[in-house]
Amino acid sequence: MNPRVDATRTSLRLRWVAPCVLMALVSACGSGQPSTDAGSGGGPGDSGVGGAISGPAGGSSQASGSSTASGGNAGVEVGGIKIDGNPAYYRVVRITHAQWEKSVVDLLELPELTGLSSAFFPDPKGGAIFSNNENSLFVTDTLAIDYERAAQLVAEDVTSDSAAMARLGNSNNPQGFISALGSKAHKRALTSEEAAEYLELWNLAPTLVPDMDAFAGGARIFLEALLQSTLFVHRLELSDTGSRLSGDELATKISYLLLNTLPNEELQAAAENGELDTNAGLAARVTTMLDDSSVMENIRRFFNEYYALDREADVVKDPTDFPNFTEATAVALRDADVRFFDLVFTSNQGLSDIFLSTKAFANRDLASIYGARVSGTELQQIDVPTRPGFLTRAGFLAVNGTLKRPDPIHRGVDINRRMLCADLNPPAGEIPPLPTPKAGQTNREAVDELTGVGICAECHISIINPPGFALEGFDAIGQVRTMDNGKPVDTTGTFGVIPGNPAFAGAADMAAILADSETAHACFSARLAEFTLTRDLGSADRDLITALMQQSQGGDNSIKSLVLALVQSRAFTDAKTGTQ
Amino acid sequence: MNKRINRRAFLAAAGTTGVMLPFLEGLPEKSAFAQTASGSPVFGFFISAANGVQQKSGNEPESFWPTDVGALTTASMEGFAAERCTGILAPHAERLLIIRGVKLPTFNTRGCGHAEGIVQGLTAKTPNGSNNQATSAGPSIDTVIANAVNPQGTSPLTLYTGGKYGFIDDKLSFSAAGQVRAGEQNPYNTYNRLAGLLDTGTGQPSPTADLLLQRRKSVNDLIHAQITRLKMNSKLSRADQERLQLHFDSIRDVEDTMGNMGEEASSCSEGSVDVAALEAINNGQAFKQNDNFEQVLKLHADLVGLTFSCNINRVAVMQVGSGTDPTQYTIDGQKREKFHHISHRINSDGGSGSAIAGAAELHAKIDRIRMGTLKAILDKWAQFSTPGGPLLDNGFLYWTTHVAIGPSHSMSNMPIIIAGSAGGALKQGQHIDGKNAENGAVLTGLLRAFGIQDNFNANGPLDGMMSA
Repeated sequence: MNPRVDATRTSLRLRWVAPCVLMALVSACGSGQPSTDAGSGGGPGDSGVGGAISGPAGGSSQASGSSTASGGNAGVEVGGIKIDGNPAYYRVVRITHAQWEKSVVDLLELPELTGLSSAFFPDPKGGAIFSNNENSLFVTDTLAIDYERAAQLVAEDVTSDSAAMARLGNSNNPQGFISALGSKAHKRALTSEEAAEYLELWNLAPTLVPDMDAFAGGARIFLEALLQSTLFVHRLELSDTGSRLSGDELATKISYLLLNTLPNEELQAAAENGELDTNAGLAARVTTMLDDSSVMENIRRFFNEYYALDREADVVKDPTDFPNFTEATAVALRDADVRFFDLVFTSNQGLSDIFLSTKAFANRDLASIYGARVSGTELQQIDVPTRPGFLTRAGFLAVNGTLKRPDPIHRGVDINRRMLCADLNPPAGEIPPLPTPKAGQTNREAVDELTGVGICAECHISIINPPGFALEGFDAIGQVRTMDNGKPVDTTGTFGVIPGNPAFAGAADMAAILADSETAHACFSARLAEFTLTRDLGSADRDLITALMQQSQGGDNSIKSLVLALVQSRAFTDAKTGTQ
Repeated sequence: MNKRINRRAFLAAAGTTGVMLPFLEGLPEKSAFAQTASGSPVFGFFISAANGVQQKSGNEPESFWPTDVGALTTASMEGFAAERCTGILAPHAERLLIIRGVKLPTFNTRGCGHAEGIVQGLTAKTPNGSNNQATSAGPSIDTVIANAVNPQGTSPLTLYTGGKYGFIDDKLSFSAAGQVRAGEQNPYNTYNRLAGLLDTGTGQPSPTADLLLQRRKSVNDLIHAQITRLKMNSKLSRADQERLQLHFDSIRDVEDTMGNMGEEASSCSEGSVDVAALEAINNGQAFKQNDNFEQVLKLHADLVGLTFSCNINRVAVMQVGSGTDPTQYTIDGQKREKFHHISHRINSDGGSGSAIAGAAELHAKIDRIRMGTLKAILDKWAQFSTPGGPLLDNGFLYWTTHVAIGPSHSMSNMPIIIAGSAGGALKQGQHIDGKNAENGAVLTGLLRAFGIQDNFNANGPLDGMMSA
């Protein structure tokens, strides 16, 4: 039996999208980016607008076994995007493999990560964008084997190392040892029943581990059990429905969200003294955490998974046209974008800055792309006054480019899907391939010729192509270009999906339009909420997303502030029982 | 009839492996052996490979299918082996059921098609979603089989060969509509999970084995007690309860599950797999490296054979390659373009790019490599036994691809090769024509081999595939 997991995904759909003929997908068994790994598929296809999967399987009779038909969900609209997911509101959420690693280190005060989770059975990504989505996190039989093996190895290592045992303290004091580590692992004080059970197990050591001294043997059995305990491998929310989570539960939730590990002593103390029982106290604590560099690992995870930055590291380009584009270049592209988002976050910036910032990062591999005077392999911050925002960063442009040419269709699709939460339906039937531009024909003209007629035009003319054309001033690796096949590059257009159909003359105009767009702010807010709440969004989240969207567009619009608002929302602080 | 466990082998193994205790997927009453006329358990391994095969399409020649529908013999297959890659399987002709003329439910795909093809391969249902967001509209056959014949909570063994690139990765095994299972990429991890089950050849029971068992049981009892208490919390939703129950069921005592392990199958032994090769493939990221692709595939298949031989699981699946498998094969001494590009016949994952000279021939040569790997797997499987007899008597291996033809991404005339009789249920030594039936008919026939009466289609098994 497998748990009934809601088959619907959060669907954040741009409401105006009708069935679209999408050239991009055609030609993209991948992104049109013929690189290895994510690049060969890392295009807009993985932008993760998870459509709600609804309705039972039709057609031929079904085999036995569950078929979780979710049923339809009308959803709600916020800022032009539709939110129609069906969150399960799990109270029992397994920690991720990365969280397991850090939790073990912090629980047992180990000097380094064990690395054992690399052998854990992988979690399926399904339709979720973020790896911390509750839908994917549960213990299967295979993972239980992995947990057992890891627990045995860790327990043996720790209890056979006198220095490791000394760090844990409570020498020759089983009750103290059990209480200290047990409470930490359970994320709350042990109950008397739990403590008694662990002690009973401990006391079997002389029989079961006769080759170890009684204390070490007892500790070994205890740690084997503790690391497999459902209370350790899950995060639990057991407060009454509708009431505020307990201090321990909030401390755990905050800690795993921001630090990927068990609550540290400070957070535990804050929970115990009631500091987290009010939003004022919670906000103060989280503000401190958000300003500490220790949160950056998880903040980077958010940006990496949202914008799929890792695919940039696998970009490949035509060696004749771009002889200096190497594997190191691709890796630098990705790393530079990671630093870009680092800077946005640590500088207390927001979504608008993601679109408008003129800061970038480059090393010698990227210097020529940006026309910067930079040497060495270390990335350095540079100013690029004519290249606003992430959409003009070479990583984004290169991953949405072919071997030789920019790919306005994939750039447009990525912008629509990732920045505006558009749900672009694929074309039906056979789609002709994109032609190579004819003599004297620009890339834009070739794309226009193919996509600007018939049913294709319905989506390509006003929705998909314009944002891609705005970026035609950058070639396949993100270098500025003003000419294409002997003609000046045309980067003009109108943004048909933005109310008022604003016109733009190039990337900077488009970036400004997006930075101002209610839809873009709604989309970003929704994604951030998914990550923070670790679940899909549903109709009940309308007010929350609306408020976030408005905050993102307003004065207090830093991403830190949005996170702060989210963790103080009742969606985060209150217990809820799902109906599934 | 319950058969005795191979306790001596287990104890020997447990003692010599020291800390790690085996995890035995037990097969109690639910998966009793009396599921087929022969009274032996049936085992099934489903493989879905990438990018289609080189078969007749437009001006491109036929390089895959046997020349004629009808009986397959070693001699007849050797006769066309030079031109048709399935001929490479000639030594196993008598075990083969090759099925042409079968299509997937949705063969007019919306977008690229690779993901949709993988999704339909073992679910036989039009996918929900499209392009790389495609997902299943129901469970896959491995789930159906596991639910019917494995102990409660025992998932199919799900494996994956190659890299996962974030575009079209795990799309083959579904526990329910839209609920994909990930596949294990590293065969060494799979081996590790089996560790301790295997007869290391000492033949001597270990005095520490009983202690290990007792310690494990004591730990398991504690965890079970914790979960039981937690499940009593009235605030938990049904979904939460199911999750906890899954965790509960996943923690299984060895003693509880050893009872039906079966007669001593001599091939249930560490000697049946190349442990050195497994250790080597675990070095760094070797299991993901391009040049190790076919070897990883074989190691996975060996471990499936071992799993079946030890009666640990009844069903396994493996996705070979991502949806746009970029493996670069070495052909005639030269590392060639990415397989996905070759399948498109151009230097692109998309629809435009420079033509790859001789791409059709290259595709045919890749198919020959793949058939060579399949033959090697079957050669190895022929050495495996199960409690009821040879593995290829009591089990089967099902090989297909996720599209039929590379350039067009057609999903008609899907390549289907089944090796093994599944306890005598399947026709052997035959090349049959499905006459444009949907793959649900083939999957239904395979369910019948397990004694499962559910259907993937309305009309029952494909005509001509069952032995009776």
